[in-house]
Amino acid sequence: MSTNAELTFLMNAMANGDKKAFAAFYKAMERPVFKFIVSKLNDPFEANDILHEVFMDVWRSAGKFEGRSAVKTWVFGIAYRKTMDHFRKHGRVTVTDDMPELEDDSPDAVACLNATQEAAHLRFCMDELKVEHRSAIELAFFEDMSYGEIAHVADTPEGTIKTRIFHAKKLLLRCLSGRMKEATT
Amino acid sequence: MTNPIDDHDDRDTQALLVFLANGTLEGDEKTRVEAAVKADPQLQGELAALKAMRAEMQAQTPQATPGEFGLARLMRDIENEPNQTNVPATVTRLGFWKGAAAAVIALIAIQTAAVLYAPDQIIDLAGGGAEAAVEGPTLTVTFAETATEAEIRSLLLRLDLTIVSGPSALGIYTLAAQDVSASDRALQQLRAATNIVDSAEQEE
Repeated sequence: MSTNAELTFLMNAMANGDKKAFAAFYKAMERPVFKFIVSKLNDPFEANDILHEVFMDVWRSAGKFEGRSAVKTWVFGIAYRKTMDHFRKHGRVTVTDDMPELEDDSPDAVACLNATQEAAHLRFCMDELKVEHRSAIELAFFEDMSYGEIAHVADTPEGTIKTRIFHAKKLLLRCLSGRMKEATT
Repeated sequence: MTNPIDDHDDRDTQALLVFLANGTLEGDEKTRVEAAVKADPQLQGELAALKAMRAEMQAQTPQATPGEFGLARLMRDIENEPNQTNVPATVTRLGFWKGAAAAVIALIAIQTAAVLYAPDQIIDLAGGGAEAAVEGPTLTVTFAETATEAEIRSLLLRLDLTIVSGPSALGIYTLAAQDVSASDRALQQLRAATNIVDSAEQEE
């Protein structure tokens, strides 16, 4: 991944209509942004279209970027909104962060660890999460973002991101623990 | 009955465990969560599982990306955009190069000194942990992808330019000239060498 200074350099160049800078920016950011989008859609064709829209927005908005966040955070914010718009159009997004209270039975940490190391279990359990919760976990683990950065991407208060992470982690660990127990019985 | 404050702190710690796992937690929060983990075997197990989850997710090979086809599609659509409205009123072309290049160059820390050997001359690449001290005027240059090292070397020797930093990850070089008039001449000739040089700007 390029540094923020390098991406800022390219953003400024794009603001001046530099298409080579745009191509370099695309090459630097395409893979992580596509990974973020396609992991939620599981449809590479739709993901391609959203990625296209994201980069068109980047090109059109480069001159408006004020540097109040890292460039990467700004781009992921666009990708997040586009992906959520897609889900809304298809009626697949929830509008509340309320979660049913879970029984406080702690998951078996060893079983979680073992299950996590099997990609199929992890994929299954990630797919079980609501898209907002899944996005928060993916930004934390794919992109190593802080909760402040995730809040910026999702345009959501930090407290809400912590709540999403709390529930997502609990559900993930419980799911993984359950999968592992099933596999061993 | 659970104390609501304890419950809130516990939830906060549980959530922050994810950010301890990805290494972004800092300061008091990091100290607090690390202490909680140290005192609780359950949290230790969860932290190990979260770290394994992060490693597994980062190791996943992404599906094939649109790559060059995606870029070609974007370039076509950009060409068809009715007007380029990107340029903010406060940014001039020279200003952008100056400001952006300064931001990039400030972060460039060349780890090792390197020397490019020519048959009869030497071009020094500045080394050291910080930007090399440059007394004369400098130019910010990017070279064409198709330009060969021999072409670049020949051009720089002919124009009496020295590489003071670069290439950055994006291929940006900073070149030093002997004085202002040499820099002005070099800038014109760099811009004229369109088969070798993509862009050349003078830093003030």
